[in-house]
Amino acid sequence: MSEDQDRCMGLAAPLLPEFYDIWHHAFGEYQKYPTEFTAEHDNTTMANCIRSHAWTEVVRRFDGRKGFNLLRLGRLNLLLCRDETVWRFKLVDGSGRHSNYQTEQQKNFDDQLPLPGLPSEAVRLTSGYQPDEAGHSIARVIVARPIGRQIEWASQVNIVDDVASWVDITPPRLPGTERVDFKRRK
Amino acid sequence: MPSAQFNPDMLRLARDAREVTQGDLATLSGVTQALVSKIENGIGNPSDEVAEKIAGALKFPPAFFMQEERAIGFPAFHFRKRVKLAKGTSGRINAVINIRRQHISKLLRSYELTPEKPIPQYDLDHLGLTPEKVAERLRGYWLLPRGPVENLVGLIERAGGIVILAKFGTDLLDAVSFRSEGMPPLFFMNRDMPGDRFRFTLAHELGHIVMHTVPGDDQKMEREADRFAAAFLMPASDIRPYLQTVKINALGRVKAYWKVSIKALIKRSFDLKLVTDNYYKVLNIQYNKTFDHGEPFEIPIEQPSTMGSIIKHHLEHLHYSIEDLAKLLCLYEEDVRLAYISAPKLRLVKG
Repeated sequence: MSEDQDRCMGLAAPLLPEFYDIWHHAFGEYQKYPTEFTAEHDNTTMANCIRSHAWTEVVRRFDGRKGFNLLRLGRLNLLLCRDETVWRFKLVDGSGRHSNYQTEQQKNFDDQLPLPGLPSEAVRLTSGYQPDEAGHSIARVIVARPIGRQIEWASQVNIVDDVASWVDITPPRLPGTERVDFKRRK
Repeated sequence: MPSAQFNPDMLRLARDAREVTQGDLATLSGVTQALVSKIENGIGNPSDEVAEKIAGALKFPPAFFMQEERAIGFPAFHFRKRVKLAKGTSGRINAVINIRRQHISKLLRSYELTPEKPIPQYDLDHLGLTPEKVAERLRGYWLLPRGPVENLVGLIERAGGIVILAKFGTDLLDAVSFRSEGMPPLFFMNRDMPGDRFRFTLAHELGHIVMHTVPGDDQKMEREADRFAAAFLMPASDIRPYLQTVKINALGRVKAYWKVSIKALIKRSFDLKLVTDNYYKVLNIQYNKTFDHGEPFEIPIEQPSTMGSIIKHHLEHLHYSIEDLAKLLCLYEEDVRLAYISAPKLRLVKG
């Protein structure tokens, strides 16, 4: 566990139960779809539907709430929290990595490049969910810190008796392969 | 009770149904095994006292043994089983199904089944048909719309078949089906299996009923019934668009709509040449790893209604009491309740 992870998860702590609920709500909404439609969905379509439900729920919960701003930069939907953290919502794998096609703005976001309306000091984080291997339910809710195409760290969010906690699930790296510098994309 | 009417066949059925050996019966009833053996082989008739002792030991009313019924045997292909069943278990199931068949026969004397389009029979060799073609013809004959079969039990019942959910007391046997003279096709289904497997098994049995009238090569007939079931539940042209990208984490959604197991979908995608040999192996490895505790997207067991209607007809329209039904079926009232009235605990006979 890094200092950065500890600090960021501290900032994220009040939001974790809500994000957890948001993903489960979104997944549950998708499960209400008639099977004749979902049978025709590929995994990307399913992920898009769930993310769309999740974002709607984010707007429902945070729009107008003091200290929060909803930003829409092109196709990038972001939740800014007290200028401390800025969140995107994605399907991720067990490492906290998202893998779908990225727009230029999304790449810039991950590469920590300046974006209009985004305070430079706000830590860019991903709130994600990982479905189980059958795509039947949510295996875990994850917070990840992407930098470029790398994942700096990832945390699994657990809720027990309405209390959120997290555990480090950052995949171990071989010695010497740690990200030591951020290389600007050409 | 007149000893002359004692039916040795019914004694064998009762003993098999209770999984009681001749020796056990002798101990339980207090008569000698020699006498039990002789009675079963039709050598001499039991006295009233002995008949009642035997009836008591086997927990059937004495009238059960006085029925002029005949036990029938079932060719191996009528059983959809996973491995060889123990002799005692298969004997019990065989006996219980025989008893149930006798009940249905009696109940149908006062109840008219009116099938819309009876289950047809196709001779593969004579007509030069494949199981896939038979499945296509049957879907056409029953005017099924494209896509999944919504309710297979309902379909078979509308065609005059009777589906009976039963507790076989083993998960080694999935179903038994047969046509018997003067009777509608009967499908005895093990209720202790997942709904998707239940549907495939029932379609498999339907394949036997439709295609196989005389015993032949068991393995060949099993393969034909499987091919029929796959084609009937997942017609090639209808299922193909859903299997364009076969991924283990996407097949659950296809399962939920088509109501067939993920395993069956993987096999179907291979049979339709939608995946390579190697990828088929990979899928099976992934399947075994992912679903070692069972598949998600549970499909409920389809509930038959014909037997319920027949019993309801006797109780409500013909004003039978449970006691009357017990007399008709030669069972104790408690067994009638267990087998036919309290559906959630439906059993073949009290075990």
